[in-house]
Amino acid sequence: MKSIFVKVGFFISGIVILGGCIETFAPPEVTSNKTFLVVDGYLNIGEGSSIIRLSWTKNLTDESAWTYEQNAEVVVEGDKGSRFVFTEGSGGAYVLPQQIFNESENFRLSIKTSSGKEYQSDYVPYKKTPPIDSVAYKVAGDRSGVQVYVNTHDNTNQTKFYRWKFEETWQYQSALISSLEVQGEDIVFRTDDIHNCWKTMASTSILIGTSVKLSQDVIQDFPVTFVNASTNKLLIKYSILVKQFALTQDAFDYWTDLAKTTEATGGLFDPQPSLVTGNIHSITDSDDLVFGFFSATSMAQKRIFLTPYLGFYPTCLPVDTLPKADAIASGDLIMSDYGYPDVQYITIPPSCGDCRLQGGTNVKPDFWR
Amino acid sequence: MKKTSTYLLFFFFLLIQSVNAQTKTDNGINGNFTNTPFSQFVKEIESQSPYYFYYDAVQLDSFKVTLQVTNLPIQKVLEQVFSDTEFKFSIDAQKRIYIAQDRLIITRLPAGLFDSTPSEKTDATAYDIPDEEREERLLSASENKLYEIGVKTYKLKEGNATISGYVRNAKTGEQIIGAAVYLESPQIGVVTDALGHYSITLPKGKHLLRIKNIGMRDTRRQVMVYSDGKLDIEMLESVVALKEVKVQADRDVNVAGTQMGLEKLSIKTMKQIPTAFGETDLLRVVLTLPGVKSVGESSTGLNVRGGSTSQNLILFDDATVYNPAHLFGFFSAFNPDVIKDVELYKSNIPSKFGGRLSSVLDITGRDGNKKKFVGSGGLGLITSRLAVEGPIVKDKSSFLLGGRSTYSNWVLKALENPNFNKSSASFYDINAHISHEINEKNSVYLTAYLSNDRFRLFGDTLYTYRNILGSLKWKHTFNTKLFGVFSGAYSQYQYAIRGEQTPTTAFDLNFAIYQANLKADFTYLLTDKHTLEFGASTIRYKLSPGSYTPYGEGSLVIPDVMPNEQAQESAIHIGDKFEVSPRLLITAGIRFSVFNYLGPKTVNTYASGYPIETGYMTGTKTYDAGKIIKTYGGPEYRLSARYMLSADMSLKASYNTLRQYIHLITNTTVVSPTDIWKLSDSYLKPQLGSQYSLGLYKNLRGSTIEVSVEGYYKDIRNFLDYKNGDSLILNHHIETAVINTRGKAYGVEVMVKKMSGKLNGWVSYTYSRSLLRAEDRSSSDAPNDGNYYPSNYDKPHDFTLIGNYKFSHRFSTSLNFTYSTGRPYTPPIGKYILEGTERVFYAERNKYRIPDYYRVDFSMNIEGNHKVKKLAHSSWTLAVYNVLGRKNPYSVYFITKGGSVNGYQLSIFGRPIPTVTYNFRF
Repeated sequence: MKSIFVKVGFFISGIVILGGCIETFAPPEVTSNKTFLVVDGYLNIGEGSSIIRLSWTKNLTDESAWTYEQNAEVVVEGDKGSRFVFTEGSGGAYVLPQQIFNESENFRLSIKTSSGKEYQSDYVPYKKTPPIDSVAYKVAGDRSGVQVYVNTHDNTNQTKFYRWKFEETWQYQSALISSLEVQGEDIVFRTDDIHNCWKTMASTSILIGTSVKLSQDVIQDFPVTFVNASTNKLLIKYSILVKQFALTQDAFDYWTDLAKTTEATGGLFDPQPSLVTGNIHSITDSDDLVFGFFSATSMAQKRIFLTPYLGFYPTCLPVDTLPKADAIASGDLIMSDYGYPDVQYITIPPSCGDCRLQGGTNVKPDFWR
Repeated sequence: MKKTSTYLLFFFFLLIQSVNAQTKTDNGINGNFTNTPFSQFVKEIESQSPYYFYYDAVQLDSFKVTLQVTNLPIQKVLEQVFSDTEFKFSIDAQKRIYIAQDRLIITRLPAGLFDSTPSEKTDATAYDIPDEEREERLLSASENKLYEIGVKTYKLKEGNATISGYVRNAKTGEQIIGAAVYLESPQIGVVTDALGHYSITLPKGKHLLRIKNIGMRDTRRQVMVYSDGKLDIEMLESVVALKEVKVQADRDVNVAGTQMGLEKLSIKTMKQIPTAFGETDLLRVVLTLPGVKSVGESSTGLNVRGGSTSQNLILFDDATVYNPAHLFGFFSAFNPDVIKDVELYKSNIPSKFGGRLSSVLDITGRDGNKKKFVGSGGLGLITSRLAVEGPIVKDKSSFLLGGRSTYSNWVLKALENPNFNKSSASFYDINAHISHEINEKNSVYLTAYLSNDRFRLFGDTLYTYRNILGSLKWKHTFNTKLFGVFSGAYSQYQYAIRGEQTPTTAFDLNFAIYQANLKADFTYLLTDKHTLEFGASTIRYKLSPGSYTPYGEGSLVIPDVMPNEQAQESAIHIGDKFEVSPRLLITAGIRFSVFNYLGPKTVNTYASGYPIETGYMTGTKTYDAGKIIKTYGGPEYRLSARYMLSADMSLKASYNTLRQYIHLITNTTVVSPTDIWKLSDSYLKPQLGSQYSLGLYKNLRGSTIEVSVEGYYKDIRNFLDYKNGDSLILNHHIETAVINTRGKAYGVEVMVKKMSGKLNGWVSYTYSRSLLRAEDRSSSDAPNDGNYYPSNYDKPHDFTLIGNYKFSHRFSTSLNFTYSTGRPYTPPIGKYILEGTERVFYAERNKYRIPDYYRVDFSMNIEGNHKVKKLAHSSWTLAVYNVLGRKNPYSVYFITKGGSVNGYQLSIFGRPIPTVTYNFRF
């Protein structure tokens, strides 16, 4: 026997083509035709009518239009005998005109769809929303944008849980002004203003806050949104309408879960998703799901305007200077005429002269001041 | 053996007989013999030379000699006479000639025959005995010798005496753990401990002590016991081990031991299981055992009996291993060349172990060869490895050094999966082990281990992680009844992630855990019916839960460093193995553990009466260094009993409770190197587990077939699950992101094993469930409305077949088949519009399952010839992994593309993978 014992395991294989592969995976449950009811809305115990919109879920891959539930019976019942029947509006909306509600009553939503499925929510308390004290803002030190805050309080210490939504509207202008327009074979002075536009966007993120850790029911400087100067929303005039809703603790938890599950961004540390449904259940089939959360609350809102003049004016260069016939044929907008008596027209691309092409409207909103 | 002893006796007799003086001169032999009877021939030779013959006249009475010689040396003459006959001759220094049929007579006594530790090898004069045969002979000498134990007295005193000593491997000098040392009558038996030490108490007088162990040849010692004494025993490895599967120690242990749910695998067994990369993989072999599952095939995270991957205590020579895998889990982090064996405790965990709920995976490294320098290694396409070992002081101390590294980068490039081939990966591990026997009562062992991984994902994120372990063990025998093992160990696990997507967001993310343990365990042989085991241990933890810092000049990342955590976990334990009657054996143990969460630390406080959520946080409280923030503790019970229903059938039952103070924070389904550990603190309670198990064991056909049925029910409290969609990394209020869950797991494991014969292997079927639900069922965070939902590793049906068929000594085949239910997952199942925003919704947690998993592997072993004198021994292994080429999904995921969400499945080994391995040794 040799004094040195050597064992050499020599893997000659080389054929380690591992055959890893990715294939599409469509388990039956993901492409099934089963749809579930979605309840979007609340019982408005404040001013204005209550609107509850009923729609159906879609498959993940389905790109068709949303399906709304029509001919359903939508009723809100109080636990002390009150009963309110909603009437159907358009697009799956069911409307109840403003009513007077009993503050000590608990309410639940009952829905019977046109196909006979019945749904019911848990009883929810009458939860009035306190008014917004103020919507404040602060221009960032480096003038990179504006932070908007909301302040509110409830002297009775009853509210504690809040949710906010907002709508921002801003005025903007096209880079160049088109003072002439083509009408038939003629070039005349433009009568409509396509230089000034307003655009409105609603919030998509879920904003919730609570004061339970405080000795008083006060929300101070809750950050609503940060408007970045680079968006050019702040260049001329900007307005934000903040809407406030009081929540029950259950509703607060629901919105917390919904935010975590559906707003997480994809990335390295993807959280584990799960099913979030609200407080509405099917009576006819316990396996049936219902999305949405029913509550009885009011809305408080407050609008502010600000003119921090942050951002940069858009710039654009005229395309050409053309004779009349060529200017009409070009299809571009006409900024102005040039030269006399041999009149030529300075043409500009539509995107430079028509602010509506950036998604806004040139109709000044009613609230604008 | 018997024959050998007969010859030896014969030889002794001859020694005494031959006393005649030698006067004649030793010239060449002359003579002319034609059909001369052998006795005549002998007379003639003896008359003309000083040689004297010893032979059996009966054997040679018909032997005739025909020969013509002139002045030929006696050696040549006899060679001619006996060529082509069945007779062999030998000549000794005293010019005596011994003739025997078939067998040579050794003309010199083996050294050590009269020594209690026969180990020296000497060369015999007449015949060069091959090594193994020589060792065999030495041992057979030991087997036939009568050892006198204790102080010799003419009259035997009444009562019992204790023999203790080591059982060692005759070839390497390594201590043999778990060897059975027993008497057949009266039935008394013990098993060698972790240091190969045994201690058996038996009535004074003459006994035949039998010794058995897995992979070793059975041996025996004749002892005459006068009083307490010492006897070291050497065992030989089984010589013919071309293709055997040994999972458990000696045959009767399955039925006769009290231990249930213990699986022991020797490195030999592990080397037989075909693997995807051709390299022996410890964890993957463990995964073929009943009750052990993993979430995916390239994951080495073990889910033992419905427990999570974080509930296994993985010990490598007493040091805790936090990440036992290399490279996303494709390889286990243990070099097969330095491992001796692996024990997996899954139901009855001895009281000396604690700190994890599900199982203990005790990996024992090999001691270096104490007799000679040897090396072993392997060269492969993915990894290569080398180990060298040898004595430092012969028979006293040895070293073992092993290293392994990969060049897997090109494999990743070859993968069709673009996610992988844009990546790079490398790893290595290094082992060092020193064992030293100071004297008969003291020995010390030093182990060091380092593993390092580095891989780059998608070209812009660099992951590195490393394990560092060190342990020092001192074994001391106080007296024949009491011995102790003192050990200290240090473990460190750390990982780092560097993101370099864009310079402004480049970051470094670091995590580390440090652990130091001290432990003392004692075994005390109270009486022959009671064996006490007791001891104490303490662990100091220090954790860096995460730091997020900018990387590079241009990085705008704001540093975020989580404060360190520290804690002390201490325990005392005592257990008694009580043989109530030959039929009933009871092992009862209790362990008391205490955990202190220590400062310095700033702890968040929350509004009382509300859920622990960031929204309800009220402030913080700061504790100074060393100050106890929170204490947990309590008893853990370990009970087990065995009742022999008949000689080959037994019933075993056990009840165990366990506590775990450290949690793995993860919400990914597979074990990920980014998983972080978290100590129990003011809000995270320790996990509690209890398990009831009952088993029936039966050996058939003279113990060649083992049948076992084991059922269990497990209850787990305070297992951490994660709230919907919370981030866990760098979460400064992790307590708000977790929910305590209650788990239950139950199952039945059926196993039929045939360990010997041409056809051997095992078949196992497991039915098991593993379910979880929130402790607080009414919480809005409770997944699945507070009802039980399947855990990520809930795979109810599991079937494994490992079959080996040996066509001849040189050709054998192995076929593995495994099937399991697909694991559960939570897919998005639809979308809806709420308040003008589109949102997706997911199925109930783990409601759906990915397709079932099955795979067939096949391998063939072709051995070279078995000539003793040969330059190299070689063998070929041809294997095909996933013969059927089934595309078993490894993971299923969903990607939003162009507004629609599409599902994809990734299979890693989606086609048959052939490997050819050539092994040789010399």
